Amino acid sequence: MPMLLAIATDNPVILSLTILLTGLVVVFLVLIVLTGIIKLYGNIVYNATNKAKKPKASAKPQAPAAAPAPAAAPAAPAVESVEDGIPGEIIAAIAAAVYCAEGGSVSAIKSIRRSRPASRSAWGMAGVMENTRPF
Amino acid sequence: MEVLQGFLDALQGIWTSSGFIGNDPRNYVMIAIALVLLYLAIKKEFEPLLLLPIAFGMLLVNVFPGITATPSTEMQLVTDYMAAHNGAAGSYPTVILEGLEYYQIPTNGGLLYYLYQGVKLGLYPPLIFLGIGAMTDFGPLIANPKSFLLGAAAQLGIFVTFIGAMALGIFTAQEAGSIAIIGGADGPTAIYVTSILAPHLLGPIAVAAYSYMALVPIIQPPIMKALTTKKERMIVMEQLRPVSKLEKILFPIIVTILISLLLPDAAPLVGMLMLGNLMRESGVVSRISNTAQNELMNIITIFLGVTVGATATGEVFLTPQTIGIIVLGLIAFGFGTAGGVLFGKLMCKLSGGKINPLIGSAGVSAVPMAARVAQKVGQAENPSNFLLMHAMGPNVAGVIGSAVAAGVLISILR
Repeated sequence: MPMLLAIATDNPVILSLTILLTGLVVVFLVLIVLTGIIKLYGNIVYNATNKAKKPKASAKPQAPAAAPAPAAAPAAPAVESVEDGIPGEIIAAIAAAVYCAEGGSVSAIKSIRRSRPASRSAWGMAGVMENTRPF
Repeated sequence: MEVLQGFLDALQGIWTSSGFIGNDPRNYVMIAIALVLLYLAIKKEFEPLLLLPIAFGMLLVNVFPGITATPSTEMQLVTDYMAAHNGAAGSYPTVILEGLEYYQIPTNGGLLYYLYQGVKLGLYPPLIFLGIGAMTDFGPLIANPKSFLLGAAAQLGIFVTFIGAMALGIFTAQEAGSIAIIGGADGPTAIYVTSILAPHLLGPIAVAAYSYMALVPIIQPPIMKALTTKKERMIVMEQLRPVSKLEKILFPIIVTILISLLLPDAAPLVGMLMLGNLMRESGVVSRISNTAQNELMNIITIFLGVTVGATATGEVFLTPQTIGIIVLGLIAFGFGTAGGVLFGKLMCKLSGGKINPLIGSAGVSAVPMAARVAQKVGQAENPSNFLLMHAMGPNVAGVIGSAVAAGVLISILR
């Protein structure tokens, strides 16, 4: 190594390339090794804690299973009402809401489309909004 | 009459010892620059916690250069000394020059000379890292270890800038290494490397590093937008898994052992960072963890800022080299951002569109500013997208990445 450096420091081009190569390789190597180790022990710890919980949790699965069911129920009619499938009362409610929010400046509502189902519930979204606002 | 003469002599003495006589004209230019930096720190709030002390140190040293004076030895004729002290002999070492006997009387250095020892001996940056470690949550990184790769890719700026600095031909290899580390977007790391490789450039490098860190929200978004498509920027990432306390405790221990063994030159920075983090995550030493993140951190920040600022005298700062450093610093930030985003794109492709390439830009460190920028740029395209926690992974990985890069530069160039 000292030999290499003695040669390298004489020539700026070789030194620059040496630094580029060594730097990128070492930084990547160290962080790749860290990635591997963190993944490995992450899995071990995760599995260990899950195993420890499993015997106790044998009765529990029914409770979490029940929870998604009511959440799915309100979503079911939503699938049917695509664009022209939206019932008249909802269109009336949306029109009233738009009028309230925008005032008289809106002359007509051209289309009503369902937004894509959000990854979070509205309440979850409100919570995230609240917590990330300072940033 | 004698009184009047004494009064005039005293006035003349004060005038000749005042800054108006002794100061170099370049010092006045530096005073103006210090005032501009103070304005930016106070009015525009550009990293004020550091820029304010840095700017004031700069002001102080250019008004009164003696504040950083090194301790020296004054020679006084023994006969003169005894005459001035009613015939009493002094207890100083004597030396005989041309047949005359002199006392060697030591004089103390300036205030900032002593405070600067913490920079010179490489004490302050690792202590700042202790506080940063105690403030950092590595949870997002542990939950998504792939973030490490983005933290590595964003170090590209460092090594590209090294080549740029060497190509300019006005810097030595050690100076080029110190300038390149600006691309790590990590103030303490930049100061640590520079104090070892090129201490005379501390002033300009620290000013460039902290100024660009404050300008991250302006520098990064155009690069991020240029390198990504609208579709990529809109990618919503899966929620991170929860990380257990045990994982968080093991993390600093494993990282310290691995990096310190592989790259001993990075050990002071990474070791202190991880010590601070272990104090935080262990949950059993909340008192010292609080001290590290608050009182200790604040005290060191004051000393570091003022003394680093005080290295920027007119003589050192007003050179073509400083302009080179400012330009190269910008290049370093740009390439770092680009490296992170491009690697993010690669990971996006490989993962089948699960990774938003914007989080790669946070790999330059500049915690937590760069992560906020990724969040903002992502949210501009898709208001319901929250990339902040995903971006914190590469962001904190960038701190470790730049410390490793610092270790590489020190080990090769020292």
